[in-house]
Amino acid sequence: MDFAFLMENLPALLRAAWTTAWLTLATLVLSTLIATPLAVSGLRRETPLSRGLAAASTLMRSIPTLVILFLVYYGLPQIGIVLPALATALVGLTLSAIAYTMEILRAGLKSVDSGQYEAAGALGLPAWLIWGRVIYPQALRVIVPTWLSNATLVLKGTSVASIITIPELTAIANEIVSETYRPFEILLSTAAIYILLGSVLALAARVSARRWSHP
Amino acid sequence: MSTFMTAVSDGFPVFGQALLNAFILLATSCVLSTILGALLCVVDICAHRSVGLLVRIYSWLAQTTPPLILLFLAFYGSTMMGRAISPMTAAIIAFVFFATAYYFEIFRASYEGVPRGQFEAARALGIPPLPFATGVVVPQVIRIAAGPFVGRTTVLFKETSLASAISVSEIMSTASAYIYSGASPLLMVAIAGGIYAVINIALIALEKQLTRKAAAA
Amino acid sequence: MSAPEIHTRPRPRSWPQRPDPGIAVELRDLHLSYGAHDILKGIDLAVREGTTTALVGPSGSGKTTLLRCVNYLATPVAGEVWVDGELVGREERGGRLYPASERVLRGHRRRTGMVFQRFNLFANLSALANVAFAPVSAGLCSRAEAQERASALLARVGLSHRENALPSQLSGGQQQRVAIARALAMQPKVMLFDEATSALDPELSREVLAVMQELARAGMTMLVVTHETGFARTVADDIVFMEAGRIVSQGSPETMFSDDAPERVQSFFRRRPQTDSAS
Ligand SMILES: Nc1ncnc2c1ncn2[C@@H]1O[C@H](COP(=O)(O)OP(=O)(O)O)[C@@H](O)[C@H]1O
Ligand SMILES: [Mg+2]
Repeated sequence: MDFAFLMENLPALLRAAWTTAWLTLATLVLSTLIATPLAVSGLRRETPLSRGLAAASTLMRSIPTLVILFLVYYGLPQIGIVLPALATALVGLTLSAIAYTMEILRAGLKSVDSGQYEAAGALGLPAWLIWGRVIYPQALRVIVPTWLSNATLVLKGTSVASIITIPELTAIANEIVSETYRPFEILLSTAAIYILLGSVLALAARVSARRWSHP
Repeated sequence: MSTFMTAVSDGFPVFGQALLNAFILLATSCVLSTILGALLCVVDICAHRSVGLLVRIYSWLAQTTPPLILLFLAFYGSTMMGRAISPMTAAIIAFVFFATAYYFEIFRASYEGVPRGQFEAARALGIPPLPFATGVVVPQVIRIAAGPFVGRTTVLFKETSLASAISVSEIMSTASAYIYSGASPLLMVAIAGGIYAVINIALIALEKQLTRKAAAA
Repeated sequence: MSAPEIHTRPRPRSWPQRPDPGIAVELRDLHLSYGAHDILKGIDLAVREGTTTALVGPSGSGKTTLLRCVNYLATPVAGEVWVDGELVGREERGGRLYPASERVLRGHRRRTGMVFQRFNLFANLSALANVAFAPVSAGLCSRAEAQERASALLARVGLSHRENALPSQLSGGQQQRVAIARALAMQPKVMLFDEATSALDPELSREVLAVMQELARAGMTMLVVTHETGFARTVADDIVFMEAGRIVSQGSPETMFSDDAPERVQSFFRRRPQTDSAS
């Protein structure tokens, strides 16, 4: 490998990696915020809303991220919403992450003994307080490790945004490759950066699995 | 409305070819990766710990690198090697590289899901390893793995959309081609999405059923 | 066979001595440790052919480990295990004894049948297939023959009507009876039971205990780890009391349940409810 060549291009790659990291983080935060109330629906008993959500979740999980990104990219302007490119990508990635996050949260919530809900209900607590203060905290033990391993998938998924020309890591790598035509140095370093970012998440997953499995 | 009709009438034969290509990519990489993943699983179970560690490192790398990067690597790799390989073959190579890791993980976890007591019982009965593996372990591994396997395959099918980035003519690249030639972008993307949705919703239903069946056993 | 022919050739002085005839299981100065923890600290025990020995003692005293040494599922660090006149876990080559290969060990293990607390049936096989599987896969008989024998064994444990049921479709008691039939299918010389009924409620325990009692009556040699004092008292010929990796007391049920038994044994039995035996 040509070390000088790498050093020359590394700053651009690292800047792009910063965009990737942030896009990942923003997608995770947004999708979790939206999925948290949605995941609760239908856990106690089925409602028309919960059935609708389940169907929407299946639909969203059946469509590639790329399709969702394109739908947002072409669709939002049609309904009069014009967003900067990065925000468009964020909306698309978040939409494609919500369904998976919701399934993860539901699996965690289901692991909590249903008697807990009845007990809290008997104390006359309102529903949002029961979920927020009683059920969710207990479900975290199951949720956190799987949520973090799903975060690795979200990280990988942000690379798809390169196709709608968001200047994240994959897009910049591609750009450098087409300028220099030195694909292997650039692509392998790019892979290494992704793996480094993924390792941070995996490390967090491992630590949390150890921590949360012994409450 | 007239654009819709022409898009549908002109589009479907071409989308049919695109769907076929996506299916070839999916089926080939699925079959090859299943075989390789199963082999790796056997290696990981039987071989020395250090070999197992190598398998795990490979699996981690293959699963953490975005498929797009792997596709590009395979694509440039194929053009570098004197005799050019078709984009489809390059895509299959990249897909097999990461899907093998997907399926390996599923098989490995399913193997761990076979209750250990049965292994002890087999030892106590003096049953040789091969009949025990084929008669007891593998059938249970298949049962446990079936649901996750189908689930992973839906993910793999969705990832075939990325092969458009190295100009494999599959569903998304066909949609893009129509968009460039002036068809309504939203409509074309919706048609593409519909194709994925119909097939994957069926697969997700199958996954659910298989998982339920495994849990009942 | 792999057992040393000890009377035909001169042996070094330390060459192990075959147990007396009529002894089905003999353990000699058996030691086992996991890491720095000594689990078995010199076990000597003989079980006569056709008798039932109950192994009792507080949890953690090493009963399961002892049982697992008899078929070498656990490997002792020192001592000898003899089953049916054969030294288990060793094989002779060129006049010397070596640790047995897996293949030889499989042969040794077939001389004992083991029944586990958690049944451990093969989950993908029907009751009949569970029983027939081991003899066929060990190449001992044809499939048809094995199925015929399996059928007869299931009848013996009262499960003729459930031949085609999967383990998940059977009650715990039924599963344990299939497990007993499965072990018997290998025609073992000795049966080992490790708390075979402690995962079952009393109702289901009784049907398993009845099968065990029938086996004992039919002359099977049995080594039974049990918490069922009723069973130990009425079915066992000998009771062995273990504590902290040692046999601290042993004798007939009459002496072990009498006021002459060591205080430690008396207090142990006093703390257990007197459960019914199958009779
Ligand atoms: N695989 C093992 N590794 C380490 N320690 C073990 C293992 N199996 C059993 N032990 C220890 O050996 C001791 C005896 O266990 P066991 O034979 O199961 O007792 P019992 O069956 O009488 O309850 C216990 O202290 C247990 O913790
Ligand atoms: Mg025990």
